[in-house]
Amino acid sequence: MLGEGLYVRGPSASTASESMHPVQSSDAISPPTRHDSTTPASISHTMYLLVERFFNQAGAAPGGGEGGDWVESLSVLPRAISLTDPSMLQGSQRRKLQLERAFQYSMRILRSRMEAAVLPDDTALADTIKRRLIRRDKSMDKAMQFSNLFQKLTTKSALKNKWACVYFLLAVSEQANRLPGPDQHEDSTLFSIGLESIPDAGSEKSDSCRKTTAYDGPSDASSRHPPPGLAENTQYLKTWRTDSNTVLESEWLQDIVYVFQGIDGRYIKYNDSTETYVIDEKVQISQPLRELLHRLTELGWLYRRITSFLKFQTNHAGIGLMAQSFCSAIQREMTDYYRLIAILQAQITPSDDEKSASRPSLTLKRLYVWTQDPLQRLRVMGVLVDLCIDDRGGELLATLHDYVHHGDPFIQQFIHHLMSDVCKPFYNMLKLWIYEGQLDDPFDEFFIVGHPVGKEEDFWEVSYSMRENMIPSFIEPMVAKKIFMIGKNLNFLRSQCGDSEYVIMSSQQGQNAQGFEYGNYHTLRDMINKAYTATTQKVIDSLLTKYKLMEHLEAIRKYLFLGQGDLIQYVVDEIGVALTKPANTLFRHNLASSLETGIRMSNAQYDDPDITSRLDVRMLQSSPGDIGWDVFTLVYQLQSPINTVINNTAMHLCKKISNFLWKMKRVEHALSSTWKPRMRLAQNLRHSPSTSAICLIDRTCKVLECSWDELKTLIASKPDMDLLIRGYLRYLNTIISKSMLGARKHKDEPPTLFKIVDVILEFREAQERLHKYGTALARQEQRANLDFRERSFDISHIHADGDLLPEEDGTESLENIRAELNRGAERFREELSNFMELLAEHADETLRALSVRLSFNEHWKMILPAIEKRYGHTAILYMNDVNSGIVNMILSLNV
Amino acid sequence: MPREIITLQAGQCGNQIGQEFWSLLCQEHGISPDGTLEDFATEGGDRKDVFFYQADDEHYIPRALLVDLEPRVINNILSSPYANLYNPENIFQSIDGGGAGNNWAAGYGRGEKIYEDIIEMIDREADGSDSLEGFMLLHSIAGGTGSGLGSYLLETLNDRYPKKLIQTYSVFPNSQETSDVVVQPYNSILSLKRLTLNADSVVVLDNAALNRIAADTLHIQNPTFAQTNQLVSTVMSASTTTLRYPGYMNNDLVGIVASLIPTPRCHYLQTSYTPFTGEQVDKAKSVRKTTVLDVMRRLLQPKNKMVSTNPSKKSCYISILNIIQGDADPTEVHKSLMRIRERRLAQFIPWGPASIQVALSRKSPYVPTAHRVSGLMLANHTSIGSLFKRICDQYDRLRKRNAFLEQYRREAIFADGLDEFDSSREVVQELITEYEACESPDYINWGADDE
Repeated sequence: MLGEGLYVRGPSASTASESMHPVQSSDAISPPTRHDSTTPASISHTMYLLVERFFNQAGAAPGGGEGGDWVESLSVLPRAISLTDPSMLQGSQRRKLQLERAFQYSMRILRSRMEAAVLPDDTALADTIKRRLIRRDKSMDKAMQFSNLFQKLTTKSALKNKWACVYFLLAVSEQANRLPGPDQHEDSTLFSIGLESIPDAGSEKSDSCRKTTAYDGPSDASSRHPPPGLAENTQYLKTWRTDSNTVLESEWLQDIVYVFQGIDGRYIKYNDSTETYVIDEKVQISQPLRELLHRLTELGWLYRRITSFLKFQTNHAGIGLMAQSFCSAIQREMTDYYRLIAILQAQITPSDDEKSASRPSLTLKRLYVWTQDPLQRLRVMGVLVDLCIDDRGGELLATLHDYVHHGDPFIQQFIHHLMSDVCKPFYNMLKLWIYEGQLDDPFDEFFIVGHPVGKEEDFWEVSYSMRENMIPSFIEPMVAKKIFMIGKNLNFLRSQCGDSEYVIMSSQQGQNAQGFEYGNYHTLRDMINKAYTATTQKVIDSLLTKYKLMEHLEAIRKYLFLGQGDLIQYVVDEIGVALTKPANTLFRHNLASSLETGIRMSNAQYDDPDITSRLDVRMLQSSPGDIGWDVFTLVYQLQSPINTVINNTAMHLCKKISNFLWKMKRVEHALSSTWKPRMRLAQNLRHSPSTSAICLIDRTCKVLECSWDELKTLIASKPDMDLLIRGYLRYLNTIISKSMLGARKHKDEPPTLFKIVDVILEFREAQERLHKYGTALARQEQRANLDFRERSFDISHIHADGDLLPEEDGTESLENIRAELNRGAERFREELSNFMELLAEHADETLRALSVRLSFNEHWKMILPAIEKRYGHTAILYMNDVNSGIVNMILSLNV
Repeated sequence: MPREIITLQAGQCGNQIGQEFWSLLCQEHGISPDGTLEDFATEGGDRKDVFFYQADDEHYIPRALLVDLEPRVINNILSSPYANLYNPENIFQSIDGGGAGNNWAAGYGRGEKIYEDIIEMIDREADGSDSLEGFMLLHSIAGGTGSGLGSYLLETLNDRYPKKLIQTYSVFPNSQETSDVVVQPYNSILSLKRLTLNADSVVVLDNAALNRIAADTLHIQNPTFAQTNQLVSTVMSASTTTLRYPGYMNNDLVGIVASLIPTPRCHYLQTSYTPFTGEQVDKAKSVRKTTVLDVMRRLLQPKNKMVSTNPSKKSCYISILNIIQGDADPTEVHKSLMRIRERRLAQFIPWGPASIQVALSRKSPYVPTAHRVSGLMLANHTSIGSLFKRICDQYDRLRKRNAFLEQYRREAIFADGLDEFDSSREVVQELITEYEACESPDYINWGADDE
């Protein structure tokens, strides 16, 4: 029986309201778009059995093998029917064929979801029948008989939907009554039961081919909302009339098997424009069958997709190893599918001996059940193929990996299986990278890319880079970073440190490395961690021991950051004078030879000559008006691989710091070199700039020391190269920021500190002139046989004749120098106040504290409020102080 | 290129101090008493050539001139293990012996007579150095040779090497007790004049304070000269560490001095050192906790000062330089400074910026010490005036009575009268006034008002 497998829901749905709801398929895997809509409606299983029995009795002799209650309860109904229309029993013999058709027709009705528009009320129904019987026969006999029978029926428990059965019989008899036309033709039996004649096959095709796509469910609105009345029901029934006899099931089967292989069948063809399988419109086909066929075509549709993907990929030139392996994995899955198809094909074209052996032949249903499992696989593959069509390399792996966490164990397992194949090339690359540092990636799929390196020192930064989007999602970002570092370390060792032995050793280790297969994350992570620590350790060790990184860092600190006091002092002493000359009169070799002498003379001579020989003098590009100090700079030349750590950026910062320190040193030197003569000249003012300057240098050195300590700790902690490079840059930046190199009040101004330094130097120049002037005076006085030394301290002498003293040369006058010194002092104070203000506002606590250092006895505090008031009263007072200081100094000169 | 410093040791006290100083330097640099480098002294980083030069056989010779008018102390030195250390040409002993007899004038007079010899020695040493930084004079101002000859040397050096620094380590007499040398005040005043006018910086060491420190911190009730001289030599070696172990800062004498001395005449520096332990004097083995803050705080305590002064309420620091040796954390330095400022442990001059400068220096790797950090403070403090005042008082008392002047009159310098005494007294008085003026906010105007 066609319906048996489907209508197993049992006789539960007895009410009209309940039947309204379409029942969802219980099959979780089947796609939600296809739900089984052909549900038994108010007509129940019982009814079905009843009707079957009825037709059997109508067509053949009544009675059968059944016994017991069954027989009894069922025997009641024909009698009840015969009561309503006894004529039915008479002509039945003659129209067996028609009855067969009628049976099928009824079956279709039964399967439809029509319902009676009345409330199920047993008593009311019984009354109606009784009344009708009374009306027809004008006697109570039949009515009495019916009520007895009905009573019996109600007591029987075999029938569940008693009301429905009786109502059905009533309705049939009513139809017969309504159309009792005399022009009965051969279908009179049917007419007598109130049915229209069943049309010939093909006569109605209006609605038979409504559905064209496999995925369209039965969307006919009328099927969901059956018309309420029986008249409409009749109308509705028309739509269900088809002729399934046109195409045999075996033909369908053949078609379907073709479809499975992506070949168009006789009736089912692929429509390229809509990308669906379409059943030939001419073919009359029942809705369930259509549905079934459509379901089956899904497999073919998926197959088409997958094969077209495979074809596309194989034709595509640079699809990459991972995509290739993905394709091959899919291909392998497909062979299972091909095998299935072969079996199917064998089934539908049975050989002779098979025919004789009465094996159950293949049906569409059976086929459907059989193909469920491959359908699942193909569906998953279809989804994957759609997703991965544009992905390559790591992206592909990432996409696939997402499905490993699918809730369905089947899919999970399937994907896992697939992944272990797809990942093979990836793991091969990974292994090669981790243990040999080689990038074997012909199709540009790995998440690490190599770049050509221009300069050696850029090797570390430039040579390789990571592509975030290519990292397979099963590799955590941290692990990916480590992987990246491992290979880079190896390459660094090989190409920059020339240590290929280690790399070879590492590759030997890699021979028996475990964990390079999909799903073995933990082992892999452990391996990577191990390799990471090992290679990092090796790199740092070789930098520290073989390439003396610490020594070089120390050297930079000592020479560029002026830590080697004696050498620097010598250089300042020796070439300081030369550097005050215009820059274009200087020659590099002169300075370089001075430096060399300095190295020989100072403690630097005890250093490794390899280190001291790297120290060199550079003259920067000079612009007109620059003096030697502006262009002079010390450089420390580094070679690979050390220049990877101390790269160009770092070197640039080093130079910046170095230049700053040189400037400070120059100031310090200038100030202390004039200290002695100044002492002789007894002037008070100079203390302030010198203390501040020294304090600043001191400060910078402290910062240097602190940061140096931090750096040393960092290096001691054995970081990897990246950390090391960043650490060094941070070290330099700390120095710069903490030594207030960059601090400036307005963006376009030069840093305040430099301005201060400039002011000091100007001031010093003015003082030198003053000193010259003073010595000139002294000489004059000596000519007058006065002991200069004695008198110069003798402040009690009047300066009255000071202005009358002859000038040494025309340009220098006491007033000029005084004004200049005044100006210098003023500017110094101003700049220093700015500086202090900056310091006070600075975010870094240690720098705020520097302002405290600078005015430890709160001397400068006098000035700060003055700045707020902008040359307020205090400032004027202070300026007076300064003036008087200078006056005092000059007075002492004018002895 | 080293900034060489030539050490002149004048008189008994100067030579004794010098002896301790050189033996300490030798220890610190890993030089054996005969001048050869010890085997263990392989660590670089120190500059031996500031104070030493090398002979042809590589052994180190101190840049030192040993001058005395009596042979006793020098003979002691020459019989000590360090006899071969010094260049014999640099040892000057008066031929006729006899010494200066605690008479400044005698010492000064003898100086004039031996001018040629001395100058020849100085010139030779100066020529032997590439970039002579200056001279260090070790002497006492109470006796005859140290004060008299020392004064003469100061004048000579200033005349001959006007551009070189002159730093003296001057031991002042124990002015609180009456001493065996009655003419101490005379000698002191006369020396003070030269120290004021002809020296660039004077490190004042006070016998009274040295004895006190020996008693208080080292628990030696009657310290010998050797023991107090050890204290002095420790201070000297500490104050020169930045020269001998070059770092970022203070690598030359002028750098140190310039930051400490803002005005020419206020160049008297007081020192304190902490902790004095173990190695110097046996009984003081106590090891204390030495953090930078502890050290810096202790340095400011009056009991650790090596000068006995009576600071008034107005007394203040003109400048401070702390030389911290050992493994001091640079960040700690700053914290300590902030603490000191918060607690107002040090009072500074009101007329200009002043601060505690801190120089971190290495410690000799060859001299094991029990403490982690040690510190030396060089301070320019106005209370030094009180010391001069005390000397002046004592001088005035003697001078009023014209006591003990006979022996002075015998010398050439006083042959025409005692003007030298008066002028010296005047210079010292001015010095005292200047130090007092330093305590007032308008010191900058001081000179101007003075006119």
